[in-house]
Amino acid sequence: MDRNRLTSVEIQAVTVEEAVRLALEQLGLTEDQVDIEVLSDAGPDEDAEALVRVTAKGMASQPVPRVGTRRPPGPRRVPGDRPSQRGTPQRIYDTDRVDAEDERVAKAVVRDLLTHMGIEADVVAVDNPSSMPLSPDDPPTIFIDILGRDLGMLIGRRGENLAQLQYMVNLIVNKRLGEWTRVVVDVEGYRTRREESLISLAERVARQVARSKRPIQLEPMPPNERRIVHLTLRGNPDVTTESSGEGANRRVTVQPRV
Amino acid sequence: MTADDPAEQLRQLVLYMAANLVDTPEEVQVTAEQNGSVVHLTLRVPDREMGKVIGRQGRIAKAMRTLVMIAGSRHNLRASLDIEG
Repeated sequence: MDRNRLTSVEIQAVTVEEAVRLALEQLGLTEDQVDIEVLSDAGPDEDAEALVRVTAKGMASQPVPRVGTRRPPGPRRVPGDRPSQRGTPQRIYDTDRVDAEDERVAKAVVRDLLTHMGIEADVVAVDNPSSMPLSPDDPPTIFIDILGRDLGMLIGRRGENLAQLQYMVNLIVNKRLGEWTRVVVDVEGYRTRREESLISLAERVARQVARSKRPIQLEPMPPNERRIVHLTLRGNPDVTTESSGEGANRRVTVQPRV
Repeated sequence: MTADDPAEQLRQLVLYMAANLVDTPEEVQVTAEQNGSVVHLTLRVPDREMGKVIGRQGRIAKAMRTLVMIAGSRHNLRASLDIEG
């Protein structure tokens, strides 16, 4: 295939519509100029993802086996319970690096903010629930989970509101504490579930790329989510990962290893 | 205004955030004005503290606005936040 003229792309996004929109943007074509194959439908699950192949009309696209449907979500983990290893590098437990008093300050700040926002919820400190290793350069990290009902607004679309809440918590906590300390704020284990879903997405996309020998570009993601994809596929013998684009449009491409 | 007043609650939220970000919390002023379902909040801090409540590329102001928006939505209110030196 002529590499200079892009005639077919495979793109992953939250919904089929969004994936098609991104694909058309990349090809510079309109919907009536292309053939659209839905490789994997997102369905009603908010955390699921759609995978489509969009090919310029008249250009044959190689048949690729349909990817399997998404596995049903597993049972919800209680905070502190460790997820399965999934072949990722050994976790580094860092909770002993965190001062108990600092943890109290962080919890108090989250409680105060929620109270002022008129939100009733339980605020608990948990052990690192992530299966991603912290780097030795990472600051001491406090993990907070907010538990309660009707907290969807606190998470927002793709965790955007949660990211803003976490940013504010970090500003206020670090104004009070001497040593730079990071606070990871979660709501009802959202970040952990999102991480699991990103790991399974990364592995599924990697299998697809290994089979088709063609790159797949993922939807734009925040830095912490791109990091999960990179780390998940770091040791993969068949694919490499690379981020491109700027700011909110920065996204990971999974490429066949040459 | 009582503490049960949603507009007053939003005012207190902005006051809490701003007072915890600046070096001189006693100089922070927040007013709230409600027009129907819209609450207009104005935050005033000394000029030298502006950076502490706005942040690089307005990042802190954006976070404050997001949290105010979430709090307002619980009362079906739309909230706007202006920051003045």
